[in-house]
Amino acid sequence: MRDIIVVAGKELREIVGAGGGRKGLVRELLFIGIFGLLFPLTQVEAWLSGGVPAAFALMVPLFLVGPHVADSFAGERERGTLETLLATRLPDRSIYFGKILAVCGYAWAVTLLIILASLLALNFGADVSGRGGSPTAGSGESEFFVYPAFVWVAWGVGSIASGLLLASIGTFVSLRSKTVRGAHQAMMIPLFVVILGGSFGIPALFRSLPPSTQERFTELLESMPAVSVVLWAVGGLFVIDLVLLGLGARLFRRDRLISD
Amino acid sequence: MTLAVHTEGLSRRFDGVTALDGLNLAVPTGSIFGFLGPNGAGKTTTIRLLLGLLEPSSGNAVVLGRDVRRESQAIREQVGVLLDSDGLYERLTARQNLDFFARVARLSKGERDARIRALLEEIDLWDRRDDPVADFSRGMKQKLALARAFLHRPSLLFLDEPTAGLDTPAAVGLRSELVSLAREEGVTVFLTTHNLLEAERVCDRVAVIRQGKLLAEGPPEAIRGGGKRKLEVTATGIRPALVARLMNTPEVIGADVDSEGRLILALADGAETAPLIRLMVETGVEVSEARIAEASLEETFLALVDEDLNGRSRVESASGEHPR
Ligand SMILES: Nc1ncnc2c1ncn2[C@@H]1O[C@H](COP(=O)(O)OP(=O)(O)O)[C@@H](O)[C@H]1O
Ligand SMILES: [Mg+2]
Repeated sequence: MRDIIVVAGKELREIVGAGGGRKGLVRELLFIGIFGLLFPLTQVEAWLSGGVPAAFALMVPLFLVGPHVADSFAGERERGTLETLLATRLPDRSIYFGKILAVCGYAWAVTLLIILASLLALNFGADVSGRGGSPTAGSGESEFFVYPAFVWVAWGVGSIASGLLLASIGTFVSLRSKTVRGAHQAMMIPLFVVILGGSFGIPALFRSLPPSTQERFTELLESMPAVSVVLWAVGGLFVIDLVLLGLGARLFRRDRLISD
Repeated sequence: MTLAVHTEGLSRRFDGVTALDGLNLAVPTGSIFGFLGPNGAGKTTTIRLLLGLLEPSSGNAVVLGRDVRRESQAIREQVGVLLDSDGLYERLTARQNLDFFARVARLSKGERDARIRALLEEIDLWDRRDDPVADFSRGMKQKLALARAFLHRPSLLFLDEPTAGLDTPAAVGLRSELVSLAREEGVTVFLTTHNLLEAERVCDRVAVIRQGKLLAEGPPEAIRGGGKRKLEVTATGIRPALVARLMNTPEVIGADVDSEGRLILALADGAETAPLIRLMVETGVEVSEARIAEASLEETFLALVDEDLNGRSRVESASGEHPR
């Protein structure tokens, strides 16, 4: 475990760019600006309901994880650091999971910043007094709006589940790519598959069910609290994640990385 | 005498190519061992096999008393490396780089700080400790990578052509750092190079490898015993394929083209030259002059280890057959 954290710490330093990565931070600020400020202010209603921020908590990590996971192995290979890393005492698994932990932790943190930014935007940039959601026990008139619980669940575990999904797929891509450019291009495919699959595939699957089943399912969803719905969805994602991660950890062997 | 590295019939094939062919090697503990050979000889492959980064196709190797197939993890724990590329993270500073590898080696905070400072001071990079490595010259990077190799006080060091690509002053500097650190810390060094002079200056023992095969092994003085004579051939129509064939004869231990376009063949001890001339004539080469001369030490090894030995460019351009 300690090894995983050591690797993750190094990765995070590279991502956040101690020393030379100002370009990286620009991307984070852009994300926070667009998803955390611009969108909430242009679609106040949708954000206040919690539906959009919950969906974003699942989607934004995909975009954050994508480029960095593409870089994870292809970047080390291209910059000539992979073999030295493999020549250390670090077990294969620590390297593999350290990299995954770093990109997911990073995506998790930036997603939190986006949600916090959106709260600031909604509270100070839009008129939200007396709106729904679950206001905190602020005193009297100046109530600070916070999202309903399911949004926080979506961020707290959902962003990790979706981050892990792309990270585990992405390491396969990155391991196989000779160059960072190639890895970035190849990453577009799983990214689109995941996003299109999530936004069209699941509804399509739903519609393909017999009408009676559809009805029962809808009833079930409506009878459940929103938090449970999110938890079920996230739980399903985690199962897929576990399978992919297990497979990745099995395939990641240092003697295979050098010979091709 | 204990051995830090011991191989028996160590071989590695990559589909079709035999990169290493039955290597038998014994590296005494405490020595600075030079593994000398031209590009493509199999030096890097050997290091990868010894680190457990590649599986041997056949044969055995024991490093620090541990089998490379079964105990490579334990081997990697006790060795330091400076491989093909420096392996430094350009976005991180010098100190962050060393700190990462020190953490990997599980040094405590106090040990890390003291060791990193001592090493950075030793290689004169303490003042640049907080600069990103991307801003460093190649010479500085190699020194830093050397420090990284020593970081966790390994008992064995693998250095893959540590001075390749450095200008002469930087190479001299790096070599002296290497020798002084190695003596101070009493580590065994396994160093590959294609530079004979480097091997002579720093190594106690040298092994010469070509096309995956061990040619000679011993103290540098003993190695230079062979190949004292050379055959200088002035001719037209020399093709790379012929040079390769000549190299495969037992008489020839190295080939090169000199600045006047003559083919220089470094001869094995007691080699006959007649079969070589015959081979050339039979393949359509017009030999206008062939003479045997004393090879200087440097020439012998230049021919033996020169980068362009198998690379065609010099032979082709000299023979005028394949203008580029
Ligand atoms: N991963 C690989 N796949 C195929 N061939 C390889 C691979 N690695 C090395 N070789 C071949 O093995 C031979 C030895 O290479 P190498 O060990 O890198 O030589 P050196 O380090 O002495 O220059 C070369 O012919 C090289 O092309
Ligand atoms: Mg090499």
